[in-house]
Amino acid sequence: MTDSIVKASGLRKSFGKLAAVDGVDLDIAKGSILGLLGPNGAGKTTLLRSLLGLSTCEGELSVLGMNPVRERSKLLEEVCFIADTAVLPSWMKVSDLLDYVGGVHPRFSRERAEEQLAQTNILQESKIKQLSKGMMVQLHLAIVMAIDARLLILDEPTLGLDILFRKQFFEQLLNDYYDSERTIIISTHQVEEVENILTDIMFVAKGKTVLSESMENISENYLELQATGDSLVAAEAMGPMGSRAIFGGKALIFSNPDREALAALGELRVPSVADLFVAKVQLEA
Amino acid sequence: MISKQKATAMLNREVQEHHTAFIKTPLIISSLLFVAMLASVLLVNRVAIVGHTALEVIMQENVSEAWITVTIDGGETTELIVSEEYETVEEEPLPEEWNFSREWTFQPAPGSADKSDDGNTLDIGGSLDPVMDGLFVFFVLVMTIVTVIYLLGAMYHDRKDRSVLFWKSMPVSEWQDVLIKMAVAAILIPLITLVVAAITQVLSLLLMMLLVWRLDFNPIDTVWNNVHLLDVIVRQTTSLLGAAIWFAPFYAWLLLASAAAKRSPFALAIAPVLAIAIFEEFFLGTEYIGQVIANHIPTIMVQANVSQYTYGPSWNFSNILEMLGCIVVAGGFLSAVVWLRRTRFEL
Repeated sequence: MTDSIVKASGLRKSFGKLAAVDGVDLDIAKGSILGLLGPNGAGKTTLLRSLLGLSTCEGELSVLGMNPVRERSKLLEEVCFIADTAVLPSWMKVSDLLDYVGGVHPRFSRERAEEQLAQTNILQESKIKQLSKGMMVQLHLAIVMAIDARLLILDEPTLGLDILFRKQFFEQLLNDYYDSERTIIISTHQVEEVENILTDIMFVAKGKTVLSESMENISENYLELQATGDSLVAAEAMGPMGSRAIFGGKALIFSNPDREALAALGELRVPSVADLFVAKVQLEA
Repeated sequence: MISKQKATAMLNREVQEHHTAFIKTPLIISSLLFVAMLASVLLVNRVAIVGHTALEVIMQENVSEAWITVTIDGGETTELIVSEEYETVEEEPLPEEWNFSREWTFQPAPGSADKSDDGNTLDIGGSLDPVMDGLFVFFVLVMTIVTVIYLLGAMYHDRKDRSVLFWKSMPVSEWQDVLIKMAVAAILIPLITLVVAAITQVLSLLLMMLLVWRLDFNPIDTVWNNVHLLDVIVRQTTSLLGAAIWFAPFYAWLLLASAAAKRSPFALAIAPVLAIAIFEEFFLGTEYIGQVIANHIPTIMVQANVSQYTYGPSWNFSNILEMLGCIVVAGGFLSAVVWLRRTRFEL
């Protein structure tokens, strides 16, 4: 039996007539790194905010065994998040910010935050408004990593950063933070940059879950066939869930495929999460 | 409940953000007042007309004239008698025109000595406590402006600069957040004001004593014994804390406007109040609600509201009842602020 960090069933949240979250079920196990993927306006941010108690929603929801709305302040002692639009207070000095977090957060280690900051160009005397966007995210990450939390929620944490910062961000997260006792939920558009660190993925579109699988199951249940000519015609007749053009032919994605039959038609491989995502979302549209 | 460590960190954060308004502003005003008072003391010994005016102010009607002794280069002495009617009686013609090397000293005219208690004490015509209150009201005025600006921005600026989600990522409940901001307005800012005002009051007394001493009066009898400094400061402290309850609905209302505003907390704060007052006057023909609201707005326009700060509320039954009402109304407004902070925290 796995320890569930998040359990939800039938989550719904509407803004007027628009259903931002429409009947989502969740069961996120301890130690997993879940990638939450979906097009703009799919309801990812609303779903994550519901988990944090920042937004009310209908349905059953329990995070670390707590009700996020009623017990938000207690929950946030063990849950950290970096929101897509979160901006650190520009008027503060870095050291003042560390003082504040140290004062209000019982699980924050200032020493650990200072160790993290020592690896960057950020000075404690600097005012936050003097930091670049990349440095601000580094500072935020240093603070979050210095908190001994059980669940970390990242909503588009690397939005607007260049590739070097993005790569460094996820490497640091995996190497210096993650262990089997912690759970991470990442919502991002840069799927290809995180797919190698994910243990689970969840696709959402129009507020509904389109796919929710472990990465292990993805490699077992989905295949991509690259086919040309007559093989392509034969493969298309086998009912692919999606396709994309490649040089001289097409790459077709199959769900629960007949591996032997497909192997005879061309080269097989596990589809990338990005390609699988596009195929799934197009299928649902 | 909130731990002492958490409350301290949250209060520190508020002071850091508003350091200029909370700390620097009262200190600058105190320094300016001190410099102005010091300058007048120094000048009074050099410039006759300033000395004359100061003399007039201090002596009031009880001391009708004073002698000004002018010694020219250690030579012969000329005595000027400054009378109440601004007349200068020149007993002998000056040997030369204006000379800056003259040494000017002030002393009471021999005839006026018997008008004071011990021959060296100036009767200043009453207690100096009102002078202390005058200084205090000046600081209270500045404090009120600082508090209004602080409260209007307290629940708005972090939404505008989008740092609100960072604050909300910390394990701080909305009630803790709102009550700390209310405590800053109702307790912390008044306490800072009290400390700076008390220091300024003490400094002003010392300067008055210095001035009186330069005029050859006894500073202890003339100044120190005419002020009840401890009583004044204790009264001002209790008044300010009483005023915090009296004006609590006003403070909570400003926080509510700050939490609800999409664009201008100030406009949102005054529009409904004006609307209620106008509606009442034009459609109901009364001024009752408008008067109740006006009584709980810290403004110098309402004399009773100024005296709330210096003399505190009268502790009679109806006032105690009204203050309980203030707490209930403020509590209602703060509940609305918490609700807005939970559900409508993004612009």
